[in-house]
Amino acid sequence: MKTHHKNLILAVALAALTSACATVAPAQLVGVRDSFAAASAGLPGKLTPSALYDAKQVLDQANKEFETRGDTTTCRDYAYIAQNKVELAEVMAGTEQDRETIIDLARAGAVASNAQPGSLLSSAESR
Amino acid sequence: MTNQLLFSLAVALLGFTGCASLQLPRDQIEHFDTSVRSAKEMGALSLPTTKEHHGALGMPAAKAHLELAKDQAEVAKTMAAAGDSRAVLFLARAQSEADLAVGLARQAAMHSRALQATDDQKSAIAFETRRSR
Repeated sequence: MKTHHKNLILAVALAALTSACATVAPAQLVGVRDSFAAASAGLPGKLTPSALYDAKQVLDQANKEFETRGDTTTCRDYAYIAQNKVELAEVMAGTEQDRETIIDLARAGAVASNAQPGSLLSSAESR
Repeated sequence: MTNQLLFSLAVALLGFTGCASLQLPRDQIEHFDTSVRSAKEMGALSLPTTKEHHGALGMPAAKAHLELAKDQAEVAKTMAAAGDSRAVLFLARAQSEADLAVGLARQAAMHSRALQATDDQKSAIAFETRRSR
């Protein structure tokens, strides 16, 4: 009887452990969720929302894969792509910020003393 | 006898299709090749390492992402040849690396222009200050 109980407890413990392991998201997915949240609250959220939206689409696929199938290679692949897309949104936000700096300076006429006035503004706006 | 032959043929056909290679979408490969070319043209391979952007083994970030992109695309092609359905997703990984390399190269160019514009402004202010004295 005692052995039977022990076996039952062991089985329940093993089942609990298995289900606990199954619900732990892979580090890549946790990392990209955090990166996305930080980027949304930061500069990319203001300057490059469409790039951030692209990242969100892939992050959603990673989350969906994890919910339905668990920690699969597909889930990790999606998380990897999403991470790169979040980084791209951050890089693009930096580019946008520099572009705005150039435009502001050119508008203020600060670079007008250059040989080609307005060239910086037009080249920045055309990009 | 005929039935046996047909059965053998069917089994052989099934085996053949099971091992058949997978075709990567042509438009995605072309898009990838274009991105790699753009990154190279924008100087992704010759950008210096900066404090903000540095890749693996001290490599400049843009170069590191471009190298990763090329490696992953090769892996995707090998996977496709072996009929591995994960090949398409692996090509998407490679594409995300190439996009990042292009983005970093573009950012470096824009950042250097912004620094130049700021320097120009400082020079202009200094010149005006001297002239007004």
